[in-house]
Amino acid sequence: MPDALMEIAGLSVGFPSPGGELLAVQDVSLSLRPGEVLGMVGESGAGKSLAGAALAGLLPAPARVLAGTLSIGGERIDMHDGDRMSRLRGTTVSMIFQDPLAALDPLMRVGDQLLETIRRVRRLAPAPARTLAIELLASTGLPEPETQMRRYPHQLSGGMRQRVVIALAMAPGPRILVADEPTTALDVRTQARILALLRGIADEQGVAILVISHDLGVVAAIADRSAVLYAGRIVETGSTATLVHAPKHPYTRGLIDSLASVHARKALLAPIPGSPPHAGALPGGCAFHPRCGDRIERCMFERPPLLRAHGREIACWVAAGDPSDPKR
Amino acid sequence: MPPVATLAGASTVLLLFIAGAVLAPWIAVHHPHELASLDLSQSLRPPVGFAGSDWRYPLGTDEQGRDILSGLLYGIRSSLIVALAAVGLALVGGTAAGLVAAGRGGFIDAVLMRLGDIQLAFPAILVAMLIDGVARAVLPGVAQDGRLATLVIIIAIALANWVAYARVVRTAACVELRKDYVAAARLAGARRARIMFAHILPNVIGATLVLASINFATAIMTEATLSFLGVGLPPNSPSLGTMVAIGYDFLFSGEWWLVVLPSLALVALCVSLNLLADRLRDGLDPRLR
Repeated sequence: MPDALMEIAGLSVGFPSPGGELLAVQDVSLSLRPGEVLGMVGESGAGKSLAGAALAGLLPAPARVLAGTLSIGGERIDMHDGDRMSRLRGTTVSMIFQDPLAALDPLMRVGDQLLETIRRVRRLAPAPARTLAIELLASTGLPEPETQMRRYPHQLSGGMRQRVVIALAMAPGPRILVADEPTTALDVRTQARILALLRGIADEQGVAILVISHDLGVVAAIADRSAVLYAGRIVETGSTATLVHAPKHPYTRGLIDSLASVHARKALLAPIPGSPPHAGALPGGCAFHPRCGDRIERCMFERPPLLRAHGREIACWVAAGDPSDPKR
Repeated sequence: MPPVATLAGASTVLLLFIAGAVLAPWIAVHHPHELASLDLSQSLRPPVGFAGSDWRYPLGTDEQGRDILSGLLYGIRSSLIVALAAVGLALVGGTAAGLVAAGRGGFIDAVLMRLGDIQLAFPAILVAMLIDGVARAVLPGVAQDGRLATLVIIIAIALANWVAYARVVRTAACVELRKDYVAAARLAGARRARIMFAHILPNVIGATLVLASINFATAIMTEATLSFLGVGLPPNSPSLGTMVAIGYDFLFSGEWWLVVLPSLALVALCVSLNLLADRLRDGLDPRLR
């Protein structure tokens, strides 16, 4: 296994609240190798976007990192350390946003936005900066990059805008890219093209990409490995193929069963009963147990740690078949 | 949206007034406050068409023989200068305050906005009178010096109006600040000042321009009211408000033109400005299109 480019250990993100800290992300550990795409899947509120924002150093105001260390290229950084994180931000770690229209200043030509970033981060003179900007746009497959430089965001289509956003994210020459729902705002055909573009960036430039999505289909299409988040914790992680074709955690199985498919027209989609818990009212034991069809008594009282089983890591007493479990 | 004919009428009136104000030194028979040019034998002449009128004074004269038309031209000139400067000042100051409030947040935001809330509890005219009064007490020359008085009244009107701009800018900036392009700019290492000026300001300025156009007529009325009450421009400076105040004394002795003509000029000016401001808002606000 090649050395990890980046490793996050024990990341917790919380919101201050009158009743104490609300934990939105708890003890999440991730690693990325160069050129690897890691998918992070979960329902709304599972904490996947916050985990990504914490990595990019862009947590929205009241949220804050409570614990976590980030190792990048042999350097260990305490994720509390705002100064160290902001030095990584926009240089080593860059970000692609969900809504490409909101991610571009509506009153600035896209070329100027790109040049602003290039000149700030790379400290280039105007002429080489311009050449680089055109190169970046061309590398995202944007047709006629010189012409597009002079356009405003509203004059571009959704897919073109997302290509500009990707060029913008690639401008500082990052080694890690956080893509938060990169294709959610796009139509299906454009989605496929943007995913292929991201895959190409990972394969050809060795950039590690963390793709955050609520859509298992997106993650399955692009990610080498995946992590499924539920109520702020990773419940199952392993290679994407393993997770999609042989899901073991009841929550992952539920996610896959609730996917609609064009090919196999299921009589009934099987939604997961209930809804995800609020961060302020997490059930005891395994956070998923109230919605779980496989639960045993132990699930209600003891939270399962990530256990190695079936060629993956899984946080489930039943599926992991923990040998220390007296009931099995 | 007002019909085209109304808009054309408003534009024509406004253009005529602006042209008259700009050209006043050349087209007016005399400066109404230049004592040497006054001729008391020509006092209280009615407008053309009434008994005792004189073609040299088409809109009549007042009790000191000042030509009403010249007074109107110079008065409109003062109104426009004061309103333009006051609105400009309020726009710049209020926008800056709004940007600072939205950008810094927390304590500074709270102080600026509560200050605005307190001020809004008093009518603008009262605030302007208060500031004007304080300035008169501190600077004794204000009552005589026309230039100084003009400056004081501009500042008073601006200070009475900045809150609206600050609020509009702060709200719009708060909305913009939450958008991803701001996060993207932060990601690229842009400093807060750079984000506020290069990204937020261009995206929020549109709303303030509409506000400024509506505010313009209010500023004219405020100046006229202050002058009418005797605390605005000094009596030796031309002002529509002062003219109305002078005419007010003759309201019951039959010299109606002294009060009616400057009032009509004020009304025509403000109505045309408001009609055009409405049109501007309709054009700029996508929700009303």
